[in-house]
Amino acid sequence: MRGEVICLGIESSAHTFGVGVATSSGRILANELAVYRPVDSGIHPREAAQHHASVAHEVLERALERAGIGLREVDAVAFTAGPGLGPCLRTGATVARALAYRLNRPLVAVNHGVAHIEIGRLSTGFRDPVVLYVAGGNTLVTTHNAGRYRILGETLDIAAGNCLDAFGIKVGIGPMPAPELLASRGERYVPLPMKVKGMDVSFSGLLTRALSLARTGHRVEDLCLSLTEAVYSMLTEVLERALALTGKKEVLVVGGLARSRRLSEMVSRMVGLHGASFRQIPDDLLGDNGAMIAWTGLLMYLHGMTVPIEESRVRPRYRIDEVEVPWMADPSRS
Amino acid sequence: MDGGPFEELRVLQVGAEAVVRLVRWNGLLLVAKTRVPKPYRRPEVDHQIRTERTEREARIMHRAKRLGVPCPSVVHLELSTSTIYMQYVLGDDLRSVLSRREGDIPSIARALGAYVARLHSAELYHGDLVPSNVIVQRGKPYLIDFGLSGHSPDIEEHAIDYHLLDRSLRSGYPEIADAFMESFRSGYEEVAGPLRTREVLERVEEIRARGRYVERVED
Repeated sequence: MRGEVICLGIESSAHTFGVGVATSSGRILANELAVYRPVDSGIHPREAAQHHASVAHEVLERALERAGIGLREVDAVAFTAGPGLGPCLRTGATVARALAYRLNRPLVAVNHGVAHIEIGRLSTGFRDPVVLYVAGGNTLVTTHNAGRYRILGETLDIAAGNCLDAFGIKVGIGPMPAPELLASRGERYVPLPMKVKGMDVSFSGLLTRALSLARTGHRVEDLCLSLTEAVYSMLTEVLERALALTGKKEVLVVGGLARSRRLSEMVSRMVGLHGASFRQIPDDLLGDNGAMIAWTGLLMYLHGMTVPIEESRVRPRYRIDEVEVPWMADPSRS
Repeated sequence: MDGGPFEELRVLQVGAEAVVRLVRWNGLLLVAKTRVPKPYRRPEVDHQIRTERTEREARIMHRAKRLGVPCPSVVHLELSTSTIYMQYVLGDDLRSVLSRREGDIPSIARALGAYVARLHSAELYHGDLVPSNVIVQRGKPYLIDFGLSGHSPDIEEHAIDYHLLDRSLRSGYPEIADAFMESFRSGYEEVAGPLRTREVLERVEEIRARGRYVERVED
């Protein structure tokens, strides 16, 4: 008999369909994924959902094989309930419900943002970090306080990743990381409006200005440089404010945009000024993935936070501060 | 500056963005607020941010003062070091007033609402309206830290002021947030009128909903 509890997690909130397997000792046995890559432009929710449905079986098989377990060894099945794109979320939820029903195992509905933080804590060993969550669809600064991850600041309009992706696509170089790669060939910084409000940020004015400068003949490389520098400066600044406000000593950057080297470099320097520490999350656990859903699902399952299949609807606008995180109050687990 | 040098007294606060010192000049107590360079930013970005905000802070504070909104008087501006010298307002910041539940909090909230509405009616916004940026002196709220303020007729900017205050109260003082915001609203409405107040509150709701899951820009 093995002594570990095993949770299988399914992620499908946006581009990625992922299946992960996590154990109660904090081991990630598998983290397999397939990514929908639209050729022409941004994500089309319906097409992405079709992609997820078509790869689900194969990704699941790969994950089980990598984990070296059979389906029967799974103790709980977790899925991303939100936030995310409705059609994509529903595809993952359907697979999870079918598995839970067939195996007669409890179902766990996971908040995608909480999962990014939990896999970050697991992989870095941080206990109580201030977190910058930056991705294509999300931008917020959060930290744990009184049983939940509280939102200290967030975007007032579009997400940071979305701003950079949209710029890249519209000037014809493609989404991230293209704008950051091209920024290294930028020579001149063109001033752009950096709108910071308390710990909130706004990127739509920045995007509009950068696009209009692109139309009036500014070099795309210079604009990439200016835009990435402006966006990352704003993000680092609100993170710095949150760090100063809370007095905490650990900093995580999670979500797809955490892959940015320049952003990591800025955050790392900022954190050093405050005598705090910053650790980077391994690349395979940074973007959207199934392992983070499996691990968070496991924490929830161990705290009795399961959901009946008939009540397991998806929540495209699920906020991070709606979720209770009782494991943060329990030092033996954190 | 004319009238002799500044005599450094002590550091009042080291914030995320600025260092605030108490200085004496010609017998007057002044606050010197210096935006410090941030080595993590590109020098051009750093210079842009510090200069823009320092200039804007002095300009908007001056205009707010003329509108009768209590805030420190600007005495001197030194852009080369991004430093503002301003009147020293003695008092407690609103955070400690709220934590200790002292004084007539509804009346402070109402007065604050009226002052913020006065700024908004003149198409100004504060941009960082949180309890730590309000100093209470003998029951009267003074607005400080105008670094993120600006001039705009756009209702969005005014609603953001409202939203920031509401959210920071809800996260910091959940038990009294509702009562505080209700008094704030009544003070705001006295100046801005019921129609405008309703429009602002509708926009606040919209901003809140937007944060719930940010829509992507699609081609």
